[in-house]
Amino acid sequence: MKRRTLLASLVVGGSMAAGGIVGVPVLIFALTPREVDADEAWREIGALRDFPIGSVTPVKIATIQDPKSYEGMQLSSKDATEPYIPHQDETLLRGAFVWRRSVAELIVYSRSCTDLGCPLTFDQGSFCYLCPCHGGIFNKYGKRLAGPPDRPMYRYRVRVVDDRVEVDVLSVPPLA
Amino acid sequence: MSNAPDRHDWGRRAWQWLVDRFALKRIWDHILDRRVAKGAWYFGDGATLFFLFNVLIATGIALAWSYSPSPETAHASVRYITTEQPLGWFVRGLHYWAAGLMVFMLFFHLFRQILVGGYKSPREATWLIGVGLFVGVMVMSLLGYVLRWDERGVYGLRVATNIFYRVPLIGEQLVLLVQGGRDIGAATLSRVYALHVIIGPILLTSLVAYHMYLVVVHSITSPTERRRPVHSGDEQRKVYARDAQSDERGEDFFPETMAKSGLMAGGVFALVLLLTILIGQSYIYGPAQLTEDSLPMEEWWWSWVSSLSALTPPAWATFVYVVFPLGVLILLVLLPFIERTPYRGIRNRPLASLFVSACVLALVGLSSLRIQSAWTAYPNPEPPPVPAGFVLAPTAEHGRQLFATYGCNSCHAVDGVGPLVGPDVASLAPPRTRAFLEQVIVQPPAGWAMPAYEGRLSDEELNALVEFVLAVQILRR
Repeated sequence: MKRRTLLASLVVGGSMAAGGIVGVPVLIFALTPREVDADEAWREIGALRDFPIGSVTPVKIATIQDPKSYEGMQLSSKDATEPYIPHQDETLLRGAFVWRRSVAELIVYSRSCTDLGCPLTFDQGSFCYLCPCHGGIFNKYGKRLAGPPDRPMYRYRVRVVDDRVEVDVLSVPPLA
Repeated sequence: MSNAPDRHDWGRRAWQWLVDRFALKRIWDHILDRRVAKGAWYFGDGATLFFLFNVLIATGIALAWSYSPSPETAHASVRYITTEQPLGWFVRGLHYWAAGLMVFMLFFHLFRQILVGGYKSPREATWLIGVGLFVGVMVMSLLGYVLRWDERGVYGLRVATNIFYRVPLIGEQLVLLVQGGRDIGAATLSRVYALHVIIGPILLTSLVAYHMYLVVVHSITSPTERRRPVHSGDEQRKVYARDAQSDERGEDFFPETMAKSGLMAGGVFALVLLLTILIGQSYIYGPAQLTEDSLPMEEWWWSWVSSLSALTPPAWATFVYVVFPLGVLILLVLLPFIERTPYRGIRNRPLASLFVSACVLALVGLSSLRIQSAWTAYPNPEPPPVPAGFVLAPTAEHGRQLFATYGCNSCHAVDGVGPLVGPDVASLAPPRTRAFLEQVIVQPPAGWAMPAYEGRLSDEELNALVEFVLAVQILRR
């Protein structure tokens, strides 16, 4: 009986140990999110003169891609804050709207609806941002007018460097 | 002539060898050649799901053969499969329609089990594995169209990550986990591919096998169970054994039960074939992009979720997107342990009938609301048509043009033509005064879903717009 108990615990314990040795690293590997080391990453979106005062202009912004995941593919630069834009992969660009409110003030909204991320359309007539999915409507200040959104439109941090307009792509949530 | 018996003998011995070495007799005895209780015609839904699952596995293997899981080539490979590959349209069509009808049959199966009390002892584990299968199939039914890497797919994924983002505390981490980084990209597609093509099928196959093993062991709800209260697992086993052995309440699993449930599977498969041939594979939209205007929609089996989302007041968002689905899942898991009445069968369960009817009504109602999508505002450069038999004064006609210039028609219909977001200006009730209309256009009251046009309209333009509304608002009176 003693021997049987010992063998049984060896079988069960051994299986669990083997499962743990393989399973725990696999889980850590799979569940660790990729994060970006940098706190800010600035992208040029155009020259100041590209944005007439009072107008809203759609722009495309290159996103962040973690260069570690592309090492060996020689597609990325060493610096995490440099844009990575391969051919044709349009999903690496984000849509945004630039509203030149006054000479000095630029507001850059993410195209992403704050409800469930559908692409907002800018209505030149009403100066509203309309969501094509679930009825979200925002006014020109990014404030919700209708629909399910429970927060205002996402805004990028903006700076003007020598007449070049730049936005910080890390200043909006990872899904904006 | 004298060789004939020998040849017969050789064939018989080869058959016996196969039966013995592959242990086929046990499968025959324990699964096929056994007495089971008779089920109703609609008990074929499980077999139908199993059949559709096999169609999905077979067509999925074929699709994986030609699909390219990289953001640069995924969309092109789907296009190639659909338009160039011999019978690619047919294989994709089968996969698409089998998937859609599988979701439909899954809801049927779930509701049917709630109706008859199929989760009652001793079938709790069968139910629990079934709940796992439900979640798995629903996840697969979203990931499948993300793989197309077209506009619809990528926005489907975005909706999912936006829902994850709402999970308190770990929302952002969940998004990073799903996307495989800060943005949607190659790592995201790899993950979706791994989930849909490797992890999902392995998990689902195991769960399906276990589910069916438990169905063989614990069987289905028998005629006597459906008629009178059965209080415990032990009582059920006795009742069931009597039913299975009886002539009028029992039958042979092979071929009677299989033929009956095969009928339903065959019917649904005929529908899959018909839809594939008549409508074909799902439409392919433009390649995935997140920068241009687009009108993405979910696949049809998700449209009720879309309507639910549109009807959600802002304050309820986290509840509807996070608490509600988790609550439903927890409720499904706990159901066999909460609802412990001895009543089984549709007729003895009026509350279940009421509940399932309410669910079906909600699903159908929400889905049909999505067809109209009365909440969607969209820019339209065309001014609203002049109502038939109606002549506008020059100022009002100018106002009609301005109605489009200033995007009034993005939200307002005129005499039934246009979106339904704001009120139809041809049926304002009560008719509005000039002063009221001017006030609302220039600076609407707080809380109104209308932009302020203060500073954007000249006095002349404002006057023209108001003239137009004053002219048409009494149209229906």
